[in-house]
Amino acid sequence: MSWSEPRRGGRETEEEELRVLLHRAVPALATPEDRMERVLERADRSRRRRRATGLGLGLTGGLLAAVLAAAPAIAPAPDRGAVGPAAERPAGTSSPSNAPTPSVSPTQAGSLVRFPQAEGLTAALPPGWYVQVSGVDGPSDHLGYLANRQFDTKVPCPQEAVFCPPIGALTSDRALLTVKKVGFADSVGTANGESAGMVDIAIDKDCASQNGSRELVGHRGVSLRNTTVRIELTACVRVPSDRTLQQVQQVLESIRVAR
Amino acid sequence: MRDATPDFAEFVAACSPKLLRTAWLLTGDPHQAEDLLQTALAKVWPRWERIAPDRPEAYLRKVLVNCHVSWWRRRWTGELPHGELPEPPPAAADPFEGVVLGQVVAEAVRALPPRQRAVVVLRFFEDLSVEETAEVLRCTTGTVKSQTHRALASLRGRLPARELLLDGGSRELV
Repeated sequence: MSWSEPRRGGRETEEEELRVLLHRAVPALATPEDRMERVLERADRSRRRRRATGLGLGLTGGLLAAVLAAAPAIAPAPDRGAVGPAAERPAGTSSPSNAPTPSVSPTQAGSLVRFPQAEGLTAALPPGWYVQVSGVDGPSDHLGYLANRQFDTKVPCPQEAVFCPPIGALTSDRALLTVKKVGFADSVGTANGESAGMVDIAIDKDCASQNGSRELVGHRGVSLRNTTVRIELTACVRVPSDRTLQQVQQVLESIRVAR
Repeated sequence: MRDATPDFAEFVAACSPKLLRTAWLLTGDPHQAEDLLQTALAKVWPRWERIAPDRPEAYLRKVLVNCHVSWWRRRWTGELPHGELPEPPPAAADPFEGVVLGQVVAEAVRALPPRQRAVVVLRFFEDLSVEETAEVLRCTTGTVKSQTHRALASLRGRLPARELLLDGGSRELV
């Protein structure tokens, strides 16, 4: 007999049994000693971020008003681009909301991406890459996606997917990088500021579903809030060139905390 | 950073254990559960003075559940429903060892779409009424009833025999 084939008592019995099951299923969960401290830090971070966003929007509005007022006097330049490069607008601070918004312009040389979920954490991106970082109110372990092709927010998320970056199937020499905070740096090679190189791992089903032909992972230890944590960079790549592999390694090595 | 007021600290200490369990049922992972709870608490704290006199736990629960649905919508992480579940434990096996029961039930609940999962957790773990559940999820009571119906139908095929789960007699369950 399956769990809820009707017995005497019908639906009420079924629902009561489900109540019992749910209460029995939950394991003992530990309470971190610094929960309150972390909550207050998060709230503080959100407040500062909102304030910075408000200030940014205010400045933008002021500049826009000034530009509009002076518009008749400004001669249009034929080569003026419509969208500023991501390098001038760090990806981690470009969106006024906390929702993860992919960058629409490729990075230029020396672009730094900031991860709001790990305050101060940055990575340098090669030119021509794109980013989508998680906002401050998302899960704290998932920091963002990096790719050497443009993201597409219209890509449907498959029901079975374990993760779902906004990107379609990878084509040749394309790479999708996932940045995560995976815990404390307790292993050799991931002490503060150190990293082991990217190493090949078996392609998991997520990378396979992205049409990846190779998957690599690397770790780097960084110091966040006086604690050394381990940042994991996973690269799903499709027939990568040496240059792309080198860029992936450079991204890993560039991860650091900027003060 | 503003220090927590004593009443907020008391509130966190009092309601966190239960809501952490709720968060675990929603996420299926202890770390994400803690993360979700802290996210919800951090959203409540700036509004504490306004909400404290009026059912703050209900407000926190609402924030927590909607935050989880929001995470899922934004495709933050890999907690999308599994397409395939492991086979239910065979009758010959002892399902009462360690965390087996928790795993089986949690997997079955996690396989539900997020809204159905939230409805199941709110109605059958938090013991909220249909009306209260509708208020938390900001939907109609009709939606809650239909989501409940679908969720129960889905769970029927995913949970193993009721005798194994419920009629364990004197056996120690998780």
